[in-house]
Amino acid sequence: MTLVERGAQLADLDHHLAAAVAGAGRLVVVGGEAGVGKTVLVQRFAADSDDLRVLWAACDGFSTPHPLGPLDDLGVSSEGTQREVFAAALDTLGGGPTLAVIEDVHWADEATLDLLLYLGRRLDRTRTLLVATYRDDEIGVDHPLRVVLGEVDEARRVTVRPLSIEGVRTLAAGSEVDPVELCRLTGGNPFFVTEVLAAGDTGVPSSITDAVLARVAPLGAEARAVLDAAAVAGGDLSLLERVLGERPLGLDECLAAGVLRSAAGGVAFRHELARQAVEEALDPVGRVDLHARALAALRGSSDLARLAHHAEQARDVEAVLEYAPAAAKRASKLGGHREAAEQYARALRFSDRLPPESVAKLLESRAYQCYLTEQVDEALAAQTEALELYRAAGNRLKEGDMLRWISRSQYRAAQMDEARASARTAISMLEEHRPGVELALAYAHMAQCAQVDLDFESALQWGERAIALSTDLGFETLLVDPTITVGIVEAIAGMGTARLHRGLELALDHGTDDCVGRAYGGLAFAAVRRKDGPAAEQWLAAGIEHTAERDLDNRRLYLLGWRAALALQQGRWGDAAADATTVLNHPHARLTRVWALLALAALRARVGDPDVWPLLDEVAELTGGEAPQKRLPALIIRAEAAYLEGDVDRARAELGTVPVSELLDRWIAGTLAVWRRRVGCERSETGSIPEPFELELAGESVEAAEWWEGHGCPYDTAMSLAQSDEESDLRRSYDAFRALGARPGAAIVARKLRKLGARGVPRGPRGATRDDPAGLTRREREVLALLGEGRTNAQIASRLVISEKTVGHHVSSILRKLGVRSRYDAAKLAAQDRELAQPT
Amino acid sequence: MPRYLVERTFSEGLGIPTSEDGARSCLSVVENNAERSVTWLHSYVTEDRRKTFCVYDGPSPEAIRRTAARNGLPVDSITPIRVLDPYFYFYGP
Repeated sequence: MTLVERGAQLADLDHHLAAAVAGAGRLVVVGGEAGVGKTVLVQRFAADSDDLRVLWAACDGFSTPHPLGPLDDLGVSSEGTQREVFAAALDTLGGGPTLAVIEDVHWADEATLDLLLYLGRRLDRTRTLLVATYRDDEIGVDHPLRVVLGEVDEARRVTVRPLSIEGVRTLAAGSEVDPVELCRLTGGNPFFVTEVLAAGDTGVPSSITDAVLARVAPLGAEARAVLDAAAVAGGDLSLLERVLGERPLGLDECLAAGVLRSAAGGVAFRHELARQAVEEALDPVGRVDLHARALAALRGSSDLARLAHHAEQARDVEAVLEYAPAAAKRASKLGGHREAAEQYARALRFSDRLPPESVAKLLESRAYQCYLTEQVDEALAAQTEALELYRAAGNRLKEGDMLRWISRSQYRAAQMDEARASARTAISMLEEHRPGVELALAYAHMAQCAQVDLDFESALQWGERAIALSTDLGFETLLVDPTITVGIVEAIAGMGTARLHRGLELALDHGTDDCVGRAYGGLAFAAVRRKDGPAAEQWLAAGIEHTAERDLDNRRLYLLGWRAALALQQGRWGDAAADATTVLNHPHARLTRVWALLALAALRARVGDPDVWPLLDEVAELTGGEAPQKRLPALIIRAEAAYLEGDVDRARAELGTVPVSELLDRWIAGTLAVWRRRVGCERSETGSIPEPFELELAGESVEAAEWWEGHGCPYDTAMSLAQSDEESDLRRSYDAFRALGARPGAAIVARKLRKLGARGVPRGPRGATRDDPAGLTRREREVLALLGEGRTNAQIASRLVISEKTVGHHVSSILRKLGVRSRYDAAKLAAQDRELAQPT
Repeated sequence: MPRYLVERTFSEGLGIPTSEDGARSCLSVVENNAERSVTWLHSYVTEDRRKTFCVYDGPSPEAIRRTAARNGLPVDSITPIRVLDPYFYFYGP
């Protein structure tokens, strides 16, 4: 077929191939609408690169695809665990200069998408160009392929667009069709254009389907039978023979007419759009019959997903119940949890005559797969149905265990109250029985919920129960979760990290990769919190390596957020910004965004950059439903940002009134206490807090600063020094802020110095507001003075030549800042205290 | 894409020769910017050449700072801005 208007795309691919062969392997995606010629483009490109090893694979458009189907085409075995299979794929692709193509990845199963992510992150060490084609008009914002595309650089995306009128004219040369009309009706889609031209009629059909059907209409009965069979069962020759029950006599006619083309092992439709058109045109009875024959012909094959598909289309209940659950298990093993959930749903559609316990098992399996793929509502629906079945059967143990699952899903869906209630019911139900695995799991779940809620006492209590019961039962795998949970709580409470270390060991020996990631996360978080730089770096590095190797994105993003926080503490602004930005640009980061948002907001506030509040408002939105204790880290940063902007009132308001002495996390408690002091709150009981905070509160800001300096925290050093009243300390603080590029901090210290009468301090902007004893602006001072003279808003407005509405704003701001209720009180104050009314 | 006003101070004074070297240094700024999807629109420079006010399009203040570091340019402050011109109200709703 002639290739028209594809020079730029071929040149792009050439460029990427040259770079790959030179040692910078990569994943390149080729996007475009169906029929726009992605395959033709890549085929031409491959033909021009015939001195290379070329590997070719495709995803198929079955309703539920075969997990890792493309690997079969690439000659990689999909036996083994996901990690083994992926490593084998990288080995195969990475062996010498290679062009590998995977077509139609918009249909890829979840495991194949994971594989693309895996390869995309590792090909740079190979000499392989991997090209993945996809339909860019068929992937919505939440399509799973988006995650893969999100990691592909703009420069590595090739877009294939429909033809221009000139392109259509070139293809239509020699035909009687009017190219302008043809271009208008086909939208320049090359497949559509060639179908119309091949049908040979002068009229242009209104859709691609019509064009395809017009083209196949003249075929004889035998050819049509072959075509129908191929549309249902695919183009494998021996399979076609078995489905048709005879030699495919009409095959030559199909090939001659150009509706099928030769392909490896048999024939193929010229395009998937053509296959769909033919399949959709089948009469219902004929379709069921063809699927039944395809099912019979394929029995014994290892392609369980395909067997399940034909079984469902053939309405063969027994076969569906045999193949769909088997296909689900296989998909799940390879990490294709989305497909597994769909296969279980398929089995459930045919489960009317199964005994209730079997249905409940299918529901449970489906729910678990849904849970793993964040389809929480679907998981809850299946679990609730299973719960009813177990309840009706009087199986209390399963009912209790199901309730624990429901609680987990409810937590994931942020239905906190419901989740707590379900967990409690589950435990009381399970405690009726001899204590077993179910109860141990329920205790561990309860502990983890309490830890997430920052209800530390309960977390410790439930955690210890889970550990004790798991030890009695003798299952070490059961110990992993509760040990990490209790370890995290102990670390937060300042009770050391011995238990968390034990949790990590257990996880490495008996736990899942995800548990290991959680333990690293806890250790890294605890080290950053207690300002232990070297330990933090060690745990962050180990955790990020572990999670990156296993593509545990959520855990990795959490660790990156804390690495940003560490860099922020150490005054490495650029590193902090880079890590935070990586997290925030990730399409699937949700709650993990919080730590990155806080680090970036603090960074912007400290260097005086704009757009601090949108970040903090997003944090407030993400953590809206959480307990006040949990929002404290965010509130402290809000207060710091307000303080640096000169709005001390707001800073004070943000810090709230949570009693410091009641907080279990002593680092948060200490930070909260010093900030309250810095913004002029009254001193209150703090309980024991870490040394630097204790020192600053005791007025020993120089010693506090020394502590910070000794722990590699330059910004905190400057901030503690800024609390001193000695000129020499303040000068040191000023220089330290300047050295960090922290302009707002420097400006605050400069004003303090000038107040002390120090000379040679550069004057910062907007000094007036911050020097005002009540924090009033110059304009507010003017308004207050006029209020003191008993004037109305209208009079003030005309006097100051501003609108009455603006005067209203000023008045309410003045009332807030002076802490009085009425303009009358303010006027009285202004009259009494002439100094207060004096414009500065 | 947000727009920012970037203020810079050059204590030694800004010197871009009106020669090929000057053109090259301007182009290298433009290239470095493109890698972070930051676009330099134009700048105003004070008569003593010690201060510039530069208008930039960029995804975030961090991106502006990173390209500045790459280009070896100082940053005093970054302020988000919008266009306002004398005909603004004629386009109002």
